[in-house]
Amino acid sequence: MVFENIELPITDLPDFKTVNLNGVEKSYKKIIWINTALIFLLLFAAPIVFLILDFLPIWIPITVLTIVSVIFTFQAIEIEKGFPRKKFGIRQHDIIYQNGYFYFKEIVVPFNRIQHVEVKQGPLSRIFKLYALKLYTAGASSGDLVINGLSKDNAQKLKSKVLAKTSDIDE
Amino acid sequence: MSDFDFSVPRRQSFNGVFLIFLADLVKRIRQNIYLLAVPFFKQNLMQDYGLYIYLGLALLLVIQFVYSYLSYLKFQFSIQEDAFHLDHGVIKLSHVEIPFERIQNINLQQNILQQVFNVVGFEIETAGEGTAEIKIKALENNFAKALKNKLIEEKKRAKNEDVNESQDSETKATTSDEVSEHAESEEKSLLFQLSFSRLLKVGVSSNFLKGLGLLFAFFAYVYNFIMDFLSNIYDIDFDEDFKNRIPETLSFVVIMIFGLFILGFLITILMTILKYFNLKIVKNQQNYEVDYGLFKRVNKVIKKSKTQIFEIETNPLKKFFKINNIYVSQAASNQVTEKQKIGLVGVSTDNINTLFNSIYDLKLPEQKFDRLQSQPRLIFRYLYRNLILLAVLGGLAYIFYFNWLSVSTIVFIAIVLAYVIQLKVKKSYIGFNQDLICVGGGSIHTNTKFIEIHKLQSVHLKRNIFQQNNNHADLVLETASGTVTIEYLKVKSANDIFNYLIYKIESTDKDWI
Repeated sequence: MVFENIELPITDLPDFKTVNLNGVEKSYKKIIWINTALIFLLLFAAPIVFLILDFLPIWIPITVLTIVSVIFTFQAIEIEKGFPRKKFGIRQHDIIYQNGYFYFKEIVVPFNRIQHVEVKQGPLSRIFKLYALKLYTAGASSGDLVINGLSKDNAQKLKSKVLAKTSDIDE
Repeated sequence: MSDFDFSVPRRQSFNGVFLIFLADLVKRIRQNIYLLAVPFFKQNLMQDYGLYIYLGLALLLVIQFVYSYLSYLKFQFSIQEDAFHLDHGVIKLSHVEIPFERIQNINLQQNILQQVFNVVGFEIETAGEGTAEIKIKALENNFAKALKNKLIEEKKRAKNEDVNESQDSETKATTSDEVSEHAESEEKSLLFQLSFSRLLKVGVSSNFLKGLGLLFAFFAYVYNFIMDFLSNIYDIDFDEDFKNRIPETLSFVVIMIFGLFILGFLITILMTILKYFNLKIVKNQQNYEVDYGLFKRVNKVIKKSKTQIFEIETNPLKKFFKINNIYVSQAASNQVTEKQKIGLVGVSTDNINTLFNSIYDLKLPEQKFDRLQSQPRLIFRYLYRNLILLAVLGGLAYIFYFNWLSVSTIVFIAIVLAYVIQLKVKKSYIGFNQDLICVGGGSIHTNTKFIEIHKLQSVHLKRNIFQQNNNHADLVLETASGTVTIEYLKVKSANDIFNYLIYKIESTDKDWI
């Protein structure tokens, strides 16, 4: 059977699924919606303008509109269904983050592999007083972890916790 | 051995002036290649302004030479007490200092130009951000070697001092490393040298689809270029003309395809020979030095601590010849591409075991892995992807050339694809034990990647909407030289191995580099 080679029984290992996770701030959903709306406004505007001006054969803008609408529907489902899944949690030795509806992703980054930590704030999140925590690991950027939509308190707390743990291990 | 005084700032080898000039010139031409198109837009350009153009070009050439000469003069390096110093820049002067302990690798290489001028290129790789790298284009061969030895010596000394100063702190792995390094120092033994007949076998057993792809790309490029050129001048649509003349006889097509395959096969062999000519693996203390290439001689160092992924590749033909390829990926600041992997081709199983043993301190034949197989449902994922290809091919055939030949070709392709997919799914697995993970992959060929568990950076579990319903998950492993994904594991066992890997990473005191 699987796991017969291991020095300790698998059931004794801490399971990351059992950790209580915290959701990100509710107002972050507004930011996502604003960003999405801005992009799709442009995407919808272009074919509609062409439809009115009548430059191109009519089926081209209609097809584009249909495709954009389908993508928009999926995006809307992703935001609405996916938002409650954006959750993070902290354990003694690592940080856990999960997100995504169509692609559900769960990430665990051990503190002893974190290179450095950044707290960031974009222009939109400044209005909503939200922060993003960026955790860098060595190697490809796909291994980095970004947690968006944190309150200032949470962001600072997480950052100091991560820093304390990483330097702890360094010494 | 060092009859050179490295503390005096020096320049590159004098031949370097020409090398730098030529390299700069090529760079300039490449930057301004679009200017070549100008004569096509303006007729009679050469008659009207020919003299000025030649004069201008000559002037630019002189300026470029002066600039290259100045940059040669300003490029000065020396070894001071604590670091390697380098001054360079013509207009903007810059000074770079590399402390010895930050030097990771020193590579020597010789491309064809450097061979003509009888100089070698010298490259210092450092840990951390990939930007702090030093490239010296032209050094005399024996000087480069002396410099390399000197730097390695200094680096070792810097490391020793470091250890002495902080004796009370944990001196864990580094000291034991140091001790064994000293015990074994001076020892430089040839582990493996690739003979020509073996290299030929490597070429023959390589995946010749790569060569075929290259050939197609080349033909497409040449075809486009010539057509553009000709139709610009003669204002004729060659495309139509050409298509009308294709003899639609079966034999022509068959010969074409057959010829292309043979050519692709030959090109692959040739490329392999050029790339890996006279491959040498030399054990130098704890590390391995690898040299290969005919025109472009590459010298790379495999460092134990920097090694992240150890990949063994074989295929039925290679098994018959009893050869294997190894690809070693070292830590880098971005995803390691196929090109950056250090390829050790044509090695025997014994060689693999020796290398494996000295990189991981473990014996490969003794490794027993618990395996988790990718689930058969993965077949559907690959099928969907290839279905698009087949649909496109089918559509094209239907529109242009619908008869028994095109139908049977597509059926044939579909059968081959189905076979390859079935192999791919069967060969995809993850195995693990106390120290290592091994990840299987490949279709007709088989590759096995070995990763030490403590070298993982983070672990992901990914499930798309279908997998969420049918209880499967993709396991994604992040390392310092790229991402490794194992698709379609059962969610329960993926979870278990996830927990196990995280537990192992967190309970080790070993570092990833």
